[in-house]
Amino acid sequence: MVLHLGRRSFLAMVGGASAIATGSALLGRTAQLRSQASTGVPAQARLRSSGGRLDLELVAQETNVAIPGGPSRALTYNGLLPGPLLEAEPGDAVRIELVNRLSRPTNLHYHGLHISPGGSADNVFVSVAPGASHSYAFTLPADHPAGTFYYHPHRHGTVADQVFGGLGGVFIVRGALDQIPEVRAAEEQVLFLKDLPGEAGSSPMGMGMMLGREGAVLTVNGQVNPALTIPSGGLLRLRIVNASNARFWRLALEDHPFHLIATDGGAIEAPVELSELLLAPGERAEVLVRGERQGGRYRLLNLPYARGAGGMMGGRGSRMGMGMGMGMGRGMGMGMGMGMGMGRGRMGSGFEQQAPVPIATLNYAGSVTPLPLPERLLPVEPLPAPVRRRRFVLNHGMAPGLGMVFLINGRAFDHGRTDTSVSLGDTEEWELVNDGVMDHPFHVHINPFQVISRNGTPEPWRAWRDVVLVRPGETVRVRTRFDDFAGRTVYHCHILDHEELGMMGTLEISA
Amino acid sequence: MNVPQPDPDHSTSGGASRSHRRGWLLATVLAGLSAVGVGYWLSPSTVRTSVARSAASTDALATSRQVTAYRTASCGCCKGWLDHLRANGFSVKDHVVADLEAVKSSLNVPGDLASCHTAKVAGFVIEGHVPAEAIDQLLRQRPAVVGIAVPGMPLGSPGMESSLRSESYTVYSFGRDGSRRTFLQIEA
Repeated sequence: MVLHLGRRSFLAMVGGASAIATGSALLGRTAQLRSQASTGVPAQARLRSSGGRLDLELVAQETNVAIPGGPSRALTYNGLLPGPLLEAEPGDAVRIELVNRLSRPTNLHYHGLHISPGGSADNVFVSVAPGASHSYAFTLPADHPAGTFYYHPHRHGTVADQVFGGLGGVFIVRGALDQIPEVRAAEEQVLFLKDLPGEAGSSPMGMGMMLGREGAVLTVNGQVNPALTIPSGGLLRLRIVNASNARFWRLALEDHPFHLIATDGGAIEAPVELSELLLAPGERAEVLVRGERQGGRYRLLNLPYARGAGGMMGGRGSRMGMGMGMGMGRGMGMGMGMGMGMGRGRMGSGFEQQAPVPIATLNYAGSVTPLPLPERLLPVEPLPAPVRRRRFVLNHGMAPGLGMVFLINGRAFDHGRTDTSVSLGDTEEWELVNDGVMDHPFHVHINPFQVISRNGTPEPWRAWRDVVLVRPGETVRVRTRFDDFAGRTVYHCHILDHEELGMMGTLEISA
Repeated sequence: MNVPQPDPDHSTSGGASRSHRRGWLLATVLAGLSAVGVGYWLSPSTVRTSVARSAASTDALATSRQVTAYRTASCGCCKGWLDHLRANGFSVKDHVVADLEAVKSSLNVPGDLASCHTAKVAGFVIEGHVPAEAIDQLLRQRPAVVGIAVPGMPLGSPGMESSLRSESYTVYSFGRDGSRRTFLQIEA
């Protein structure tokens, strides 16, 4: 069992007594370092609003980290990877002083929050130069949904490198979902999923920006294979964030189904039982796990997922759901060991995409009177009929004068151009078409959306999302309403390398 | 419990399975370029020329600079690579094939080194977006290898130029037994 927070992170975790990680390794190491804690840095791993205010400083910088097999240095907030866990409530005033001690410009995006896109709120057009600071200030609407949100850099030109380098953190908004008795009774655990590059000098073959860079080291809350605990009969609520640049996480817990209770934008109407959960970059989910075994250890697995193949070799639109079923090309490695060994490539060991990789371990400890699952959660109101429909075609290609670029409706990102103009208060339906051969998770800032259909098949249940996977050959229809905030923002592919290579557009919301 | 540790040195033979899949994903990606709707590729005049060539002076040399290439019909960046070769003094026989897989198989291209096109020159196999300077070095040195390869599709490699980004990448040599080593490192 290994631990891969940097020493500073550790000290900070010790300082924040309510640190979220509960792994046994962490506790053991904490004890070991306790004597040093008193001299530790003042950073805290968990910051909660009080009296309606959340005030903090986030220092973005490169720091030493101790991650077995991983990089010796990573980009961190306040020396922490993940950055401090932020918690607020609807109506709270949030002030964040971002200090850039990186070598390149940065900024902050409050992914999933429904706040203003302008000024010093969720303004992705802000650029904070190296050595400079920026004061973010915004107020969460009084009716902001409860959920698991995600802060990360979003400065075009450096966002992919900075997220891949380690930056990001979780922003929890507590509200109605947290008051549902069965949910409230559950033990809560954040799972911040991030893959990091391997040790210096190991440069993977072939996997570059074109497909989107993945790191060889899979971390959960900055740890390799941390321990989670559950009492027999208990409920564990996992708030899961895919904080990767490009990696999709396809999760399954041995002998335990997930009971999905929330998607990106908060609660769904009733729990949905899932045997596995696929999260694209930027996507979040909350699930309940029932402690329905008597004891033992169960691996939380990341299952293989291929995000750019079947289209050409298996025929478009022929895939099955949730990461299953792909093309049949030689050695494409689809599924659990399927499709391999068909060619001459040698089967080395340890590539996570070829076989399930344990990323955390669930241990039973103690027992409680069995807790029930909630039967109902919260209403997800259907949106009214759209006043307008639009179409967004995603692909990549060679463009004159640019070379290889990624495109939305044939255009690469230009921050000075307005691609889509909408009116405040309008409901629109957007048709997202992936005309290419790679998966593209489509993300819209400021306002969440509901998926209406995928390739004409109606979505089985309503949910608020801000990221939706659009597979090659697929057409996904989403409906959204531009509520509360006028201003200028963006939509883009959340494989951040693709965003950097042009797959982003500007959205002007006019009052 | 058994915790798999990442392979610290998967850049060489140890990471074959990882790279194996990657190569194919990327090759597949490339094969789809024509579906883009912007079916452009860089004109020969804009292709990066890395090495100035002196004209081939003997028949033998002329023969050694004959490239026989295999690609799928839709591959735009394959054409870009062929233009790069022509601009560097190679002559090109361009074969559009339906089953590129069979070509790679018959030429002993390791799956994890695969890209979107395969070629032959002077008895060597050339896989992927290999720059002309690497082929020149291969023809000068004539090492005991099956060929050389640039797996996947690195941005900035010949045929994969992008004004937005370029990446460092490695040209690997490979043998009949699947062994491979770094042949040339190209920095971004």
